Amino acid sequence: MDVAITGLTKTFGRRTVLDAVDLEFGAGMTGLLGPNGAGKTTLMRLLAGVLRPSSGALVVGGHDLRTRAGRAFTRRVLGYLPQHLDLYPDLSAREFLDYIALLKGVDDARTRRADVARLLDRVGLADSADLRLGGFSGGMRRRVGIAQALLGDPRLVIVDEPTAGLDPEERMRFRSLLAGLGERCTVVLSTHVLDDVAQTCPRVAVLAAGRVVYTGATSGLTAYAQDRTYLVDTDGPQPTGAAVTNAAATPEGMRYRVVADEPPPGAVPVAATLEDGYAALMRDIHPT
Amino acid sequence: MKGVAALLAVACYEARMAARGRGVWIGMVPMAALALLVGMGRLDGAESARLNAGAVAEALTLVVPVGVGVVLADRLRRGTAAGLGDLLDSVPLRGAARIGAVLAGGLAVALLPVLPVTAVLGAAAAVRTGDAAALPWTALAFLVVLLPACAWITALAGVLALVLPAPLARAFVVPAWFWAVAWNPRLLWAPTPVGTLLVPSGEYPAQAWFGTTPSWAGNGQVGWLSPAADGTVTGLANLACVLLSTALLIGGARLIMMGKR
Repeated sequence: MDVAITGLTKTFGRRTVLDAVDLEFGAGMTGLLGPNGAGKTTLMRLLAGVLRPSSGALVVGGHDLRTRAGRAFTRRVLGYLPQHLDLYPDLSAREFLDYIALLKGVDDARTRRADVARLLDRVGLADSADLRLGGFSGGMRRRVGIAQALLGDPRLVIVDEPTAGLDPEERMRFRSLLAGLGERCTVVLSTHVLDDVAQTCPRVAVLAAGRVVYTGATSGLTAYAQDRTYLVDTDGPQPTGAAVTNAAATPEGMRYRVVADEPPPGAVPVAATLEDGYAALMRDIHPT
Repeated sequence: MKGVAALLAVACYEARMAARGRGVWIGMVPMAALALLVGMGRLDGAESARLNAGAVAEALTLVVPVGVGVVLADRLRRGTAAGLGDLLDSVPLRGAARIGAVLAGGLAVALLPVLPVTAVLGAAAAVRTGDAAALPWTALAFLVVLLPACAWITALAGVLALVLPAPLARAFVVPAWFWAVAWNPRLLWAPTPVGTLLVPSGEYPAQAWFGTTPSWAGNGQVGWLSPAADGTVTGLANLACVLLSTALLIGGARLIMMGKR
């Protein structure tokens, strides 16, 4: 399911949240990164057809979301997990998923039951399927949210910060779930957890202040920090003129991981990670 | 047909959620008890099973919708919770039809405590009048007098709770209902549907099919909208107006929910 976004602009009053965004998503997983307020959630809501663009075009599988028919088509193929999802506390996980499956047009009760049971199992909630959602922990609710996004065999899956609140084991389970999906449909994953993108997304787009500042291979974003990533051991202040991506106390003082154009004194070059590449990109956009 | 089945299923889930919440029972069980007292009071002057059914339904329609509106005010608001509104708007089955199903599910549960009261009143009327037809007449009166009124106030309460905090909306439902069905503009002038075909009190259907004497019908502020209660035509016209205004309220709720995004 190809998604083409052309000149997409969204304003709320006088505030421009997305500014002439051009992006393309093909089959497989694409990560969507960016700082808070970059416009990621707005882009997701536009893709889900919840918001209408102020200008520009959004085409999903050849169907223009500016038309009623285009939006109807997108709803039929969409699996969507919003950033924050309050669930009906009076329903059990099984009932909630069955309800959403109904709304998604899965009319056959037997198909719905099987689909719901399969997804509850896949998100590790089979044992809690008949408990009320009001008693679920944040992580369990998130897993229900993930499961509902996968109901109805969607061909376009949009998930907004899906791993927020998940413990490491749940996060690993979710990654493998998404990786399996990416083989047969288009998945757009918005997250602040760069490790999730590094592990699952071969492609990535980065938004900053409503504009696309990078789109391409995830390895390409990592390469942004290649030959600019260093470890610095010091008992003095943190290095200046560099983006610090990590800091850890050592017996001798502090060890900083930095991205810098010039190596700080005593710096040891190391292989860049996606986090370093992202920090390098942000540093280039907003040099401090 | 598939869409109808899905809407029915939505209504069932909404009914299940309403039934599991304590609020509906806490509000509606005492209301049902009050309805029983009010209804029993109207049995005294019963002349016939049919007239009795209409008079009782009219009396119940004064009080029961208040409880219904208060307990169901949050039904639509719940669907606008963080993310849930977006999710519900990203699925194929959405829009005013789904909102109608949501309200219908809640209404079905809210009226559950009223059903046995209606049955008791029907049975009591059958005993007093010696006419077993009191039971079906009472059921019919429930359907054409009380039910449309409850649907109207449910939709109004749902809309109010979308624009006001839920507790305020619940509080506002009470004067709103009495403004709609019992406001006397001769005592204190204000525009009101009382006396017109827009009134949701069931006066016109009660006169049309049960032979009750209307108190206000025909004395509304807008002459052409206030025909004298005159049988089936005005009864049907009033029912159509109440159902149409209920549909308009549902449409309004849909627009408000869209505007909130």
